[in-house]
Amino acid sequence: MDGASSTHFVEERSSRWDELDAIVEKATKKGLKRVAPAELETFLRLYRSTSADLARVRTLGVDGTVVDRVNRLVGRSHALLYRTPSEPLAIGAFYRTDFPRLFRQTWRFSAASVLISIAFFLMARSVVGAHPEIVADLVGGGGAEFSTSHHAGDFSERFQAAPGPLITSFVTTNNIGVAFRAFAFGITFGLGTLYVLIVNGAMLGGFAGAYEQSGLGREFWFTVLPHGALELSAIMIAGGAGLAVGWALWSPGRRPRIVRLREESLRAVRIAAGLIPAFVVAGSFEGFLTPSRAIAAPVKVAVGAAAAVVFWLYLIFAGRENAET
Amino acid sequence: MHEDATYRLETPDNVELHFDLAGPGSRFCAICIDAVVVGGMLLALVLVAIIIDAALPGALSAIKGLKADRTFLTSVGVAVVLFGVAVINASYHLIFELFWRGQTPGKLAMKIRAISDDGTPMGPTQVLLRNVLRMVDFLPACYALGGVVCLLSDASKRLGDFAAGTIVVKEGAVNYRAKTDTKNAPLAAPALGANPELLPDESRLVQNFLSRRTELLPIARGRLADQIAGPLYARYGGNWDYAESYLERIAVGRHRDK
Repeated sequence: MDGASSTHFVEERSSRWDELDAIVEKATKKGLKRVAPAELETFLRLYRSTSADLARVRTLGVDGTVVDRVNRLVGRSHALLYRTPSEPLAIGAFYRTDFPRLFRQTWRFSAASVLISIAFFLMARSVVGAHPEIVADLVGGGGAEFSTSHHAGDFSERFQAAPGPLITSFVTTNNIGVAFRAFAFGITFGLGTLYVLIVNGAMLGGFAGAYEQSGLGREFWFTVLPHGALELSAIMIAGGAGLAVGWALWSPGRRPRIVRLREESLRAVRIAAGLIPAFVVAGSFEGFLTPSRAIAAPVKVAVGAAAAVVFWLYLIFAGRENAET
Repeated sequence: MHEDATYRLETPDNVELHFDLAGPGSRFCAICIDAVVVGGMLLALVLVAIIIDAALPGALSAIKGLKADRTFLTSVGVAVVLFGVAVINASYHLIFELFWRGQTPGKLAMKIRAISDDGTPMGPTQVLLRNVLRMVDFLPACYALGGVVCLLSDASKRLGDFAAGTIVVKEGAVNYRAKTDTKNAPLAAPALGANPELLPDESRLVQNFLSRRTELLPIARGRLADQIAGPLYARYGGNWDYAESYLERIAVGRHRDK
């Protein structure tokens, strides 16, 4: 085809392109739903013809700016047409069914995460129990100094010194950060996630061992459990989400790693995000329940434990009415 | 390694779409701009908190019988600020990329946009995922890991892009939506009464020059016009005044006009 007919072609189609452009512009601004049905039909017809035109202008060798223009136009139309039907920002449905189902789909990894955490918790606890001098490295000062300077009053005093809102705000954001980190580092073939879980478990074990050594075990657990039961559950589940991504990279099966990475991480990130309310509740406990002088310690523990139990029951049983997907 | 920075996408209707990929450079610039914007927002938050902190006791004591617990109020204030800082840090990219269809102020300034691999706007989960993985791409500092991965990958992707199935594309130097150059409008639309005397290649050359000349530096524009017009004049003759005017006229077959 010669130059004259290619310019003729461009000239002939220009008006259609303009028409399509006008509709795309409108639909991008207002959303496809607001476009009148008749106009929608025009849009589809024009999209098809312009797609064909794109192939034509590429082979005709017309002016590069024209090819670029048509390419952009088809690209924008395509984006409108094949947009994923607005994915659930529907939070209600997510928590009614999707979130607990996602948890159950990946429960093995959560279980692994819990086991790893417990293993390193116990290990650190027994090491510190057997070698109290390690406490010095953990908290500074010798073991003896530790046990004399930390008596029961001090310990709960520390929590009561800072006001509730401050603790809640700090602890909640911090924990959400830890949870997302545990998930995100799944992309390092799970190694980063393991690191987060091990540090988390060993830290708690070390402190538990140290306080139990000093005869403050009871106070320690009364201070940790009210908020810790829920908080630690959620962090371990986030770790499970990270392990799921890591495992998909180690053992992708027959499909490319990159595809498995995409599938698993798109699924697992929703688990991590779904845990946010649990951290808010746990953070509120830590700011207001744990340090409260008005509530007896066993009651605090009972409330915390109850919250954790409800959370686990929810994860295991919610959204089972319909067939699992 | 990639030979060009074009991402080719076959649509379900068998159309091949081309996207210009944004490189690590423009993406890093966008991140820097965003960092400045976030910094500004945090600063504003702290300033507002300081002003409230200074003004509040006076305002409260003005109300009769109300004795404010200063320590408690301060702690609530600090809690709100801490929370605000965390929320801004965590949600800045999320919110903008979600509601500005893959752009943030930095990306807007650099004329780049994050979209889904399949050419459609990103869904909420994709936005969340690519931004959660920022913390990995950031390591060990200043997006070093993400930058290296981006350089080595075919489609200029950082880890977050791989996981979420997203790419970052240029909105384009030739912005179709920009206002057309009205002064040269009749010539920018090349088809009008094209000169049938010219060979296809010649015609295309002239049209390309005319439609793009405003993008050229003046000196390059003049030289290029001479280079194109000279041989044409030698072949077709007509009325020569200066090169660009000759090209304008020969494009529509009026090169013999006075």
